Amino acid sequence: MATLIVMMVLVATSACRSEVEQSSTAPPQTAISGTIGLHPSLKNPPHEAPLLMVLASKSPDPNQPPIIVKRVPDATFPYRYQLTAENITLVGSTFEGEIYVTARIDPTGTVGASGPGTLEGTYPRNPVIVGAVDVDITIGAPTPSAAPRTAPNRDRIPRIGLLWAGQTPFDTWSVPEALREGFRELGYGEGQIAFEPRYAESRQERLPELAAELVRLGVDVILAAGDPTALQAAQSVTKTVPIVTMAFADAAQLGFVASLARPGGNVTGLSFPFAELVGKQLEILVASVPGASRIGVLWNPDNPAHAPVLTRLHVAAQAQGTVLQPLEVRGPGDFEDAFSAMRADGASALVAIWDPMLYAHSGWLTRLALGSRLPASSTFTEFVAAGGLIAYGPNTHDMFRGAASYVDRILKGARPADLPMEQPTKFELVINLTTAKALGLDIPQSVLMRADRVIHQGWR
Amino acid sequence: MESRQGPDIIQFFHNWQNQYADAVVDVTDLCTALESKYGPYIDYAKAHATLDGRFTGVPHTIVPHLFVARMSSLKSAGTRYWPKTWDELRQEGKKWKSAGRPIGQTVGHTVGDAVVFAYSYLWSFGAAERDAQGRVAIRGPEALESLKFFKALWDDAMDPAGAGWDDVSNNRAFLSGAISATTNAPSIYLAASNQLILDETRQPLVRDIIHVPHPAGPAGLAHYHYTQQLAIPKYSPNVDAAREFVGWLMEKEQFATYLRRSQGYYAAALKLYLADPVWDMFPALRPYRDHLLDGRHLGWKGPADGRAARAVQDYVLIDMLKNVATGERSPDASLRWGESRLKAIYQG
Repeated sequence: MATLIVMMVLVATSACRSEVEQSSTAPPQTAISGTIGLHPSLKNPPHEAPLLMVLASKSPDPNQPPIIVKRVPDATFPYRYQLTAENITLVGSTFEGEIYVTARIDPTGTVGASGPGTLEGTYPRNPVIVGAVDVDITIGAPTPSAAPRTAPNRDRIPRIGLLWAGQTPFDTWSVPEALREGFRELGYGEGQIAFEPRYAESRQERLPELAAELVRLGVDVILAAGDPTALQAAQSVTKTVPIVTMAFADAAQLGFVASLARPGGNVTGLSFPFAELVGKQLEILVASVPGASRIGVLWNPDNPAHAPVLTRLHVAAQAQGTVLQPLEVRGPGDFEDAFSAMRADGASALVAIWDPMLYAHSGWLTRLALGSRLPASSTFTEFVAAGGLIAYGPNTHDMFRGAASYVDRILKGARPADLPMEQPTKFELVINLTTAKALGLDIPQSVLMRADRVIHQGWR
Repeated sequence: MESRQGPDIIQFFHNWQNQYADAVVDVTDLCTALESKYGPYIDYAKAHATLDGRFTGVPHTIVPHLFVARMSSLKSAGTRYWPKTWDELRQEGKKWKSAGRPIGQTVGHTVGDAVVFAYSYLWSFGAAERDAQGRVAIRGPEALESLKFFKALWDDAMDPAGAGWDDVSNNRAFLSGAISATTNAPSIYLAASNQLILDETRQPLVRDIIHVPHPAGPAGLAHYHYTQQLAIPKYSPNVDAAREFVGWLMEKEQFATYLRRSQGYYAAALKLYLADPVWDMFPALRPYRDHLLDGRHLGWKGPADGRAARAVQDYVLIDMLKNVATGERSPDASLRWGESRLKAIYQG
């Protein structure tokens, strides 16, 4: 097979040696060099550890590909730079003739026309030729010729760090649409607010590092969503950056705030003591599944909110004459074993306690439940859309909107310590009749009449 | 290798040097020295570089693969989030296809993308070429279900041209706006970024690119990221110099620079570099890092031996999928065919 062998090109390695040094020793005839600074009007550096990009182009058109994109993570300002032919990133181009030098700080590391959060600077006497020195650039200077792209009366775009323990949940590497919607309703147009989403991808041990990264980036507010571990991580790295939580947990009971009415500290937001809800959730499930006596419970021991929920469930189960079979699931790798155990022990239905990890894998989870012919219930409405039988809990969209409103109040000057935490009061019962049919279940009229929404959504 | 002449150092894809285990220099001492200096290798990178406990090549780099998607195509078709399961991908992909931008996935005879897709797809259904004892175990309800489902996924959501695509066809199709999503290394992003390719609205295409995990199957999420090893053939008259060079190259001073020069295209086989600043230079590529540890080795659940390499080179799993996609074989017939091919390779 001809493609088998790829020869090592030894020359390539010696060519790469030059990238690391940022020295001033290269002969000026083959380099362009100068200093990059931040404009004094930037009251704070945009982020503490910005990704600085120094660009060299053959054209002033920002949409022409630069021949060089030199990326400097963790830059400190003023930053001394030097560009040579060895920095060329556009294959086939040459480092000669007239060259336009610009610099930018971009949260996504993107070149081309600027996007949300991009700060730019251009050498005022562009173009230059190779050999030019003192090609100094100021980033973030107000340019009179360019029309402001963002709200004119803001110094800079507010940046919201989003911290989430689970996997990229909605628009993937983006921001939940419901959160964007919340901000739109509050009058933030496109480009008037920037997000720094950080997902731990179900690896909760990464949360503190991600939270620290958000603090380094200098975000205005951290939105710790999902479960208390995100809040815990954010609180462990900053006592000053405001944190808005929308955790599925009782924030006061777990000691994150002094009280819901006066949180003190830098944390506020939505607190959702869902332990109080699970009794009713269990009751609805049992009423829907005739003869249900043994109920499997999927819970995540790494989620500090779960132990109190489990206690409540036991109490409720006792009152309803059912027995619980708690099963620890720390990650999707535990699903198989949990379902085998439920099948082996003859569980007749299943409760999945709300958790970012279970949320991220709800499609898979509901499919396993169907495969094991187990009617499944959880706290979030998306669970039902993914093929689960029953959900009873607050509307996720409402929670994101609520969180946006906290962020807005903080951006306008309110102190988190003074903003009482709210608890969702409106809960929805959603039932998937396609799933019921697949399970051969006749949901009793008494349950159907309590449902806020009935959906017919098969997922196969 | 077989002509017993040529370069002094050879970079092998996947675990392919294990086919020539007797003809390459044992580099166990070099690798264990690197491990004791820099910490452990990522497990499948080590599995690909070893045979029966000895290193047949020095683990070098990993070419990570995820789905690469156009956010705007997905959104305009009404998709609210990246599909978390193959079922969801089929459901949403149907919308993308009817809007003129299907999923573009190769199941052709390629070295990279088709291998990545075929192995990780089958694994996510719980199918494996071999059991833990190394016996061929492909024929079972998991693989059959995966093939049946693949036909539906292909017809509903995928571009039929993918049956004949090579490793660059999907890059071209994606960059020209013909498809919504495809399995790929960071090369699509890097081309869009370095060449500043503009989309239909004259905006940089890079801003519209997202990197997302493979959807989960009934057995969960599975990824395959192919690895590269540096092997020294025994025929080389310069074995000592080659060994010394590879050792030097893998020292952090050289290797970190190498990673940065690759612009995030390569990840390292050593876990140490999961924390390298290269991921801060290309924030958009971080999902590749985040899913790097999800990978498995070829031949799973058996060892990554030379026969597992042969199964890749004979495109067995890929053809099982392709023949179902094109309607050449029924899922059942394709599975029986695949089993007989694997038996010839593993037990022949």
